[in-house]
Amino acid sequence: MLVRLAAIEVNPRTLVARVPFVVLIIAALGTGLGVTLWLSTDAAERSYQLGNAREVNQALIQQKEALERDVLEAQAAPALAEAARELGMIPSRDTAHLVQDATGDWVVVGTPKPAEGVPPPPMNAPLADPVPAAPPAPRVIEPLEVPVRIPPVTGRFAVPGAAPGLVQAVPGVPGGPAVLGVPGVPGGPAVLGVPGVPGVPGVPAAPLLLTPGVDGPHTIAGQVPTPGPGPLGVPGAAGVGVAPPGGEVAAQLGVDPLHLLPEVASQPGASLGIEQVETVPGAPA
Amino acid sequence: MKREGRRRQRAAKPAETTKSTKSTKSAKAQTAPTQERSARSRRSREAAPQSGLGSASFVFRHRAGNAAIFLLLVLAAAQLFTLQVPRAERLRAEAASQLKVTDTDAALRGAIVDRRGDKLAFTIESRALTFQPIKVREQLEEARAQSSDALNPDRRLLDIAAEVATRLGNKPDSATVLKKLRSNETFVYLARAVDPAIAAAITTKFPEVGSERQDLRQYPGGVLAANIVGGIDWDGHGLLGLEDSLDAVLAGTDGSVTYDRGSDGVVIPGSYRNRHDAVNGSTVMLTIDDDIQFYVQQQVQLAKDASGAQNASAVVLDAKTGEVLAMSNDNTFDPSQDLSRQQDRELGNLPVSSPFEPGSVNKIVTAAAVIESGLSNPDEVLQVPGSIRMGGVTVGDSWDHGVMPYTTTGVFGKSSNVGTLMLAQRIGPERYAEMLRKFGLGQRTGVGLPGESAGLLPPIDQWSGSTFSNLPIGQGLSMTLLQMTGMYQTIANDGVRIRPRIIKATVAPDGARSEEPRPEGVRVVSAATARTVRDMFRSVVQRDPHGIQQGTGPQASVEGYQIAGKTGTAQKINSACGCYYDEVYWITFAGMAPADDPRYVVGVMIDAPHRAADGSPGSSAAPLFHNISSWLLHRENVPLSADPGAPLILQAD
Repeated sequence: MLVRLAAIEVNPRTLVARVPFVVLIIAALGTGLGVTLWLSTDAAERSYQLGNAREVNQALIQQKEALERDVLEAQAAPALAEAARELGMIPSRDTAHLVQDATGDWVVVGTPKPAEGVPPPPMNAPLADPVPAAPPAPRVIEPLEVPVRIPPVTGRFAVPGAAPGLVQAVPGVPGGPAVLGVPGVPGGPAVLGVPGVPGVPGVPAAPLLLTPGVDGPHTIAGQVPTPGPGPLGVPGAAGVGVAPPGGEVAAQLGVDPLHLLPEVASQPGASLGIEQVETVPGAPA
Repeated sequence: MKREGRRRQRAAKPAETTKSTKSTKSAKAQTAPTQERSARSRRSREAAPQSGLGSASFVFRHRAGNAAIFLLLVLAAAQLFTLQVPRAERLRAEAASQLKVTDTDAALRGAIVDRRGDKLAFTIESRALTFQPIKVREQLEEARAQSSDALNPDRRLLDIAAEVATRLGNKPDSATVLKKLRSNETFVYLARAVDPAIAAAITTKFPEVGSERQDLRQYPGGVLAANIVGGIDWDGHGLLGLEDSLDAVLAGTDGSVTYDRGSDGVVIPGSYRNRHDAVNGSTVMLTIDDDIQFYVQQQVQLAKDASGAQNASAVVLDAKTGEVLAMSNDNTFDPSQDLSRQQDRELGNLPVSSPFEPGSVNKIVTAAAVIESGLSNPDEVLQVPGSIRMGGVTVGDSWDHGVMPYTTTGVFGKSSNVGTLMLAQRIGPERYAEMLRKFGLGQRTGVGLPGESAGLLPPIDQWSGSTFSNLPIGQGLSMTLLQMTGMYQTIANDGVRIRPRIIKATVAPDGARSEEPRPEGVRVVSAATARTVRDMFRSVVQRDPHGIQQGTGPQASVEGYQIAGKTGTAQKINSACGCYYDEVYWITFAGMAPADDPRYVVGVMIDAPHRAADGSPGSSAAPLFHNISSWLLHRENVPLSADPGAPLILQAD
């Protein structure tokens, strides 16, 4: 045993000499692998940094471009002139000169005078925003039309006080005096062409009757060119709606026949005959 | 001993067996092999007995297999052949079309700068916000279906619209954006010309919104020099002016790179090919000075408004080099704003594109010719009658007078048609026509601007009897404002006409600068003649309190400087009757400042004014000339003239 122990070489030089070559190779490979890993990790990390830096650079370049553009726009001649104009500056013209002649005397050439006048108008006026084409005139449709059941009692129309009872649901016409079939223009007497009607206090509520589905004068074109109290088929209705203003209104109606009145005039009987009738109030008291 | 003997025997026996094996080899081979084989025989094994190898079934299988393999090979070869030879072309194209992607690398359009490098037009990068309504809505619905945490798609669209509108300062407003988001298009542009930083912020917050590079042309001066610079189309190519005519120089060449992409959209490594770098456009430097241009443009607009004219234009040339320093007409469009809404603006460049009859401004040709040929001198006194009959027409002066003793200087200073024609008669038509040609009339100047007109100068063989009584007084021929100013440049430059030009240099993207060559001058008259004519034409702006020695355009004078120029009034042509209007004029003025050492040549034209250029009664373009030249001399610190110049005698006693 001792002999064998003694036989073991402890001299490191000898030990090194006895390490097989393979171990060296393995060690070298291992180190190389480690270094490669480290390098590639590092490179990957740096590539992320590089990418970030590039992005930042790009953003900064774009920012610089935008700022340069702002500077150029601000220092362009028209912009400078505009800024001067806002400061109230006026371009001077024909300035006088001081000239030293050969003998050393100073001579004024020209007439010194203060600048006057108004600053010239700006050169770069922004274009007016395109005005959208005026919307087509609103079609005479009646969103306010609400079918109302009316008992076929003709006589009640003659009584003004009964009219509010008939006017059951007419939303959206806030006291519009006789706005007939023209929604959105509440209170416009001119729409009716009967200026006298709204102004007459004696018309607390003028229930004019319209038949739904009859949409204009053309259905009755030429039938009643001059509507007035006389030709109205229902005297009661006519009396409430038009008569109180008196002859003046009648005359105006004759001058300016509007398309609603003929309808009233021509179809009151029918409107009373059918059940669904829309009512639009006149000026409620 | 006995034991030994037996051992020997046993030892001998195998030897004997070996011997016998050798001798009976073939016999043994035919029988079943025994264990008792020698090492040698075991090493050299015999081929296995043909148990089945030679059988009929094996032969069949062998041949069938061979045949099958051969058939397969033939099939493969045939298929290979068809794929590689007859169908190769189509397949290759098909594969390429599915794989190949070519990306364009847009070139940056070159800038247009003025003579000091101030940018009149340049391009910056911007973004267009894009959106795919149908696709994104589907994705949002899917996300919603998969997890209830996902936002309501409609809510998301509302958010996007609100964000885009807020970031872009409500242009477009959120309602417009929302309408696009909800549309049934596959692809929409939400906004164009968005600042890259804003676009990045929006796309980061809402990845559904895409952004696309879009170059944005900037015109910091707006209408400044727009008649020269022009404008570009929606696709980034020139539409008007120099942007159009120099498009090839400015646009550059787009780069491209081709690569293959798999069905999943991933680039196939190593497939990059045909890489061409983009070549940015060149920068074009003009001879324009943007400050002068601004002032001229402003004054032209003011003069047009004050005079109630149809239009007005002005040109400023450098007297020595012929470079165009400013060129303007009124009512110029603004290329930085929507062109389609500027149909009422002037989109052209009137100083080069619209010829007109110059009127008395053209008398400088007669003056130069008569002095050059020594047929008169400035102080010669002519007895000028009130009218003259020449070539079958009677031409009178614009004011009634009897026979007046005007000097040659006075004939031009007072703009006497009769006196001018008397002098022109001394020159004769041939020499006069030659002089007109030398002054560059009837030919394009080649200034480098698109749409240039050559004007109209009737060739001498087509002259009628009255032509020679019209041309010297500036009727019957037409010229552009640039040509007209060029005539005065000739006199200002001591008789050498230098072709005007507007492009100073071209700077390539790599910084290589190529100067536009300075054209050769054309000697029109001698330097002495030019000096004499300049001195004579000072009479036009001469002021005389008594009115006797006063020229036609004293408003053009600039105190402290000698100014020479010429007024002009030409009747406009009434196209309805083919005759001249009596009351509608082209009012012109051309002159040089200072006259003793010309630096600038200014030409102005006002078309059909109702008043003078400064709004005062009368009709004269002299105030506009005065404003421009006075400002110009002041701005450039031109030294005052040494003396106001000797008073000129226009009318002899």
